[in-house]
Amino acid sequence: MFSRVLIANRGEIAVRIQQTLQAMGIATVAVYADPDISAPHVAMANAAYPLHGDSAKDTYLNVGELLEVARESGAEAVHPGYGFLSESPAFARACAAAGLVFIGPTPDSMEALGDKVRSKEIAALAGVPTVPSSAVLDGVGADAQGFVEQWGFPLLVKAAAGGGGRGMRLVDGPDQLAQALESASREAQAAFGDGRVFLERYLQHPRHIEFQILADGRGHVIHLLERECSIQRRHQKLIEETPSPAMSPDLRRRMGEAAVALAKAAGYVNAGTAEFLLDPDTEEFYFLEVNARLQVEHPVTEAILGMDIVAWQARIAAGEALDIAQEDVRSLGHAIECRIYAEDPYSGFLPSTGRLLRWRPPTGPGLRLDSGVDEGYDVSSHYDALLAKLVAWGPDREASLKRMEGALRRFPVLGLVTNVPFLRRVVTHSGFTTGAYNTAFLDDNPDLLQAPQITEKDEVARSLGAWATANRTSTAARSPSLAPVDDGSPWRQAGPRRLP
Amino acid sequence: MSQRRIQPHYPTPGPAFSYEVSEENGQVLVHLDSGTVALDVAQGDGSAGWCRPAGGLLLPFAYAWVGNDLHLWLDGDLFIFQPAEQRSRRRVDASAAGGNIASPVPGKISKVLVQVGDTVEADQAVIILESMKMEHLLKANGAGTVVRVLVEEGQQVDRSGLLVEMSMGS
Repeated sequence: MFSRVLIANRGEIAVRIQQTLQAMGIATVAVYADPDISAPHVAMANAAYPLHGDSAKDTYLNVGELLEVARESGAEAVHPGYGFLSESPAFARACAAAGLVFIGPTPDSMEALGDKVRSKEIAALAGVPTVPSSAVLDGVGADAQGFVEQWGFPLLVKAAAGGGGRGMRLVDGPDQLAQALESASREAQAAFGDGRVFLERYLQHPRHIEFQILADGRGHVIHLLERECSIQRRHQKLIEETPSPAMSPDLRRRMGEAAVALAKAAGYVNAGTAEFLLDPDTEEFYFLEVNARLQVEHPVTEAILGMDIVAWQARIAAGEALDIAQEDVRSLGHAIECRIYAEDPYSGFLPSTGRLLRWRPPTGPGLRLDSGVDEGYDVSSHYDALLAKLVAWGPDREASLKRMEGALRRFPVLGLVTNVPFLRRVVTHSGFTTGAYNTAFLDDNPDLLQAPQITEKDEVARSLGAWATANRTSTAARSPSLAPVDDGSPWRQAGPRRLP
Repeated sequence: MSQRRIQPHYPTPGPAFSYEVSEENGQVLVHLDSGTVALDVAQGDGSAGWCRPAGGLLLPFAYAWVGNDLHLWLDGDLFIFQPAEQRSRRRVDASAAGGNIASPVPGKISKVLVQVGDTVEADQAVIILESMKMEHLLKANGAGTVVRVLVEEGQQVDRSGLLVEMSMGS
């Protein structure tokens, strides 16, 4: 096993990866751009190196700098996390050329599967149905026109590299196409350093289901059951759960086998995720893409399996065999994850910035928080708005949802607007609790995007707001002549106290 | 005791209201136009504790001042209040006064979609702003004409920074 590993990332995932590595006795090396100097992923590291520059391109995407840090720190391996360079075959190759182990898939399989277009060809070879899509496009040319003529609108513009909803646009009609292609390409270029985009048929109201894959370097591939990821906003996942309420044992078996077949066809190694769209009525499913990296939502899988996926990533990268048979993958209970974003759901999910003046996550049985921030942290506009992920486990779905509701209620955050109260409204919404939802959940329930109606609680809030304001005003007015009251209490006696 | 006013700003913006606060038998009495609310209030570290409305359940709270805004967390929900006089002053300052386009968040200008002299319709996209690695469309809040474009592509902007000056009306 490695003795020292560089984490080429930031935020909650850089924290989460280090937690596992340090528990395995591996020293961690963090990197940070200037705004992150006081971030938790730096504070917990065994060594930390600055990356100089203003943009992600100069810092967390700077291959040369990262390799230099690896060399200087004596790291033997690099964990890329998700986003940034995690799905860059060029980075994986550069690591290998520098004598570093890249904790992730091989560059070749990453290239094949991480590329959304080529991965569909592999899926077809493995006999897995795919969503119809175009070739990679260069503007609104003949390829785009041909696809539009065949499939019509609405359709999706998607980035060939990357994921996470970046570089993705829903296009309702021909007049929006050119702008969507341009905007998606620009966003993809900024996020992944690769502006290639393509068109994909847009399925109305599918469920988004994915299967976690683990593959060792010796040809053994298993799947770690499904994750239901249909609760999304702006094509980004918001809430994930496992098991999926839509899954029958037979469907799970068929989709799981498809995921494993795909990974085998691509010669995939390490952890990855096969994403599918599912028509819950017909139980027909279509392969969407493989995320050739650790997923944001991997903790729900860990919660029901009692496994550590990051530990397996390191072990597989170090050449160990995956000594788990598919039939030994057995789940216990139900887990749900809520992504905590610095954003305002009631103004189009606009991001919110500021200092976290209060950040007191709930704790208790069955709860887990993967967080990249701490009280006092300055949330800036430089990076992704994902602050943390709250995960609740329970013996069944109802129990885990109840636990999540309580945890979201006991999570005070002050200083900026987050989606925590909104998430609580979603997990208690009948459209969610029944489990009969799909990716159009927020479109179908627009009431959730409106600020809540006046309730009895508002009057208490107004009263407390008035009381706090009055306190502040009176304290400020009194303070110049604030005199200690001598009522004999030792706490009221003026002056600093010193222990004898 | 002088009457004071604050204005609910979040999640539901509402009209400013007057209040008076007094204490009686250890209870906080907040006199609002709609009536008097009696609260048992216990504060711990100065900005957090619990309160209990008469006959109600105990509700935990915490609050903090963000500039002149009061952020109040109450039993899982966030409320933001602004002293009423400050809010009205801010409205005059706000670069988004009238139909002007201001940046709702700090970020980088990805694209300017209009030029001086362009007429725009309500909800027409005017600026594409990149913040937190996502693109956000900033739209005209009414029909009008572009008078001035104050930013260029690639430029970093602050929250509330004026981006496009508009003359409203068609």
